[in-house]
Amino acid sequence: MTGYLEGILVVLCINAVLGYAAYLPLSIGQINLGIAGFMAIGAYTSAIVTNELGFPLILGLFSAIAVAAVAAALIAYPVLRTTGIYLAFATFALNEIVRSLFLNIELVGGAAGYPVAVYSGILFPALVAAVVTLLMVYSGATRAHIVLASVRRDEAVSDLFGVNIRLVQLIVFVVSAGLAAAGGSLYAHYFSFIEAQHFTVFLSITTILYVVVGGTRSVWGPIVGALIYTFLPELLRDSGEWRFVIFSALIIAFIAFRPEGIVAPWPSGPGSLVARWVGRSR
Amino acid sequence: MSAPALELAGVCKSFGGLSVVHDVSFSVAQGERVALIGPNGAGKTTVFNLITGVYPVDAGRVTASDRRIDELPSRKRIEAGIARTFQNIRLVPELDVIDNVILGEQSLCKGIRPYLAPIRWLGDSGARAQARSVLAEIDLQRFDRQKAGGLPYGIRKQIEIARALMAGPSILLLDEPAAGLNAEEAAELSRVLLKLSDAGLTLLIIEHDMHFVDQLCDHTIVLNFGRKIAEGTLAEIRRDPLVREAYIGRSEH
Repeated sequence: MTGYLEGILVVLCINAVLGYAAYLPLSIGQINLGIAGFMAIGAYTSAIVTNELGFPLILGLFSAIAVAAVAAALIAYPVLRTTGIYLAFATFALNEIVRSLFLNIELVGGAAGYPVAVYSGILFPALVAAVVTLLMVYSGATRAHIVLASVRRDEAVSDLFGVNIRLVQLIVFVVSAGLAAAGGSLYAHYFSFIEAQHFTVFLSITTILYVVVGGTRSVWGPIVGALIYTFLPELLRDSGEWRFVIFSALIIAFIAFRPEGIVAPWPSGPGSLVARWVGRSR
Repeated sequence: MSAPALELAGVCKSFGGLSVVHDVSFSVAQGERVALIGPNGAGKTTVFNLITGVYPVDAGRVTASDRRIDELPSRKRIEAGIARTFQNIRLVPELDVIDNVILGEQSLCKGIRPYLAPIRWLGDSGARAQARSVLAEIDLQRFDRQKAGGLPYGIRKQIEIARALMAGPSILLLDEPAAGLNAEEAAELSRVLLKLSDAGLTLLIIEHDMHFVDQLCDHTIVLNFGRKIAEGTLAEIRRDPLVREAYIGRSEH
């Protein structure tokens, strides 16, 4: 396999894992812009324990997940008191706080970045992405899928049927943080160098966008989104700067015509997408 | 004699300066079929919301089988045996009918175990089998694999009943179950509800269709402007001058 193709496949694996981190909050109707922050926590944790403590790769991954999950659980209380746009702002702030912290910690190189000694190759990220995908697909077949869809659609009715909304939100927030951290750990050990500037809110937003394109109502949505997001810019590489314009236009088209994403039942009949868009007042 | 399935005593609710439910008391015996009627804005749905905890009561108490429930959080009240449907249908349109029904047994799922089974892959066992049998009880099993959002109004109303039944309630609160149904569908629904009632389920029903109430309910409570103005059999209610003035009188004379 060429280095170029291997690089793209590893990016795909990382994007898929990150995609699930964005998908979980979206599946209950939440926009979590802190994903890149938790990814940073995961990347730095994994780098530190492998560099400084000599942990093997797999323990680096588990440490990353554990530290991010605990951090998420600790800050969940104030963050999850907000909803809608305020939750987006709160997680935006969280992301920037985390990023600024790593930017100023000398132990991890501050703004100069932090080299990561343990290199993963392609097999480890592929395995982790496969396990995460399988777990998410499995959970999509369980009752959890029903509960999440119900919470997204109608919190009041879910509550009356006995769903503990706060607990669901907490679990989603913590698991999402753990997944983002796993993505961060994979990133650190493949690219062998991390710097705080990489983990901006823009990265969180991009992740959310490709999951929205893939579909937020099916566990396959993040995979499809990650595939498009990873390969499309590469296919458009010859078009130079235009590839960003084309990619952006595609995302806007999706949000306008197909807000539920690719993986969801498609309406039948020609022109029905346009017809639905024109008649969207409902 | 056993304790009433549901009892309201001096229940009051105001929104700001507007008194929506004022000093309402009534009780529903085990196995009884009671109608709650009244003009639009009489406070009927608010009474349901107070029973199920959507809003806290300002004063008064609500008990279910001798257990005080008005201080329980809303999500715990279904465990006291109270399940309901909604006036404006509130299903998850993008989920299959069967998944909507399965949500009904959420209050029975304790701990992590119920969440581990891949119920969608297990075919006809566990939760799905139970949901299918509840759907069969009200003759809706043919819709189980369809998306709830794409079905006709009358069917969706009955799916809400199936969802509520999944909780294994002792009392079912139905908010205008016959609204939007044609005469034939309403008669069928009334047959289904009678069957459930024969099996021991207590029913409290908000309904405007007096023919439906007449067929189904043995006792009627009338609300007007948030107050209870009468209760009795429908025949007694029809003769009550207050009720005629407030409600039935206007439509029949």
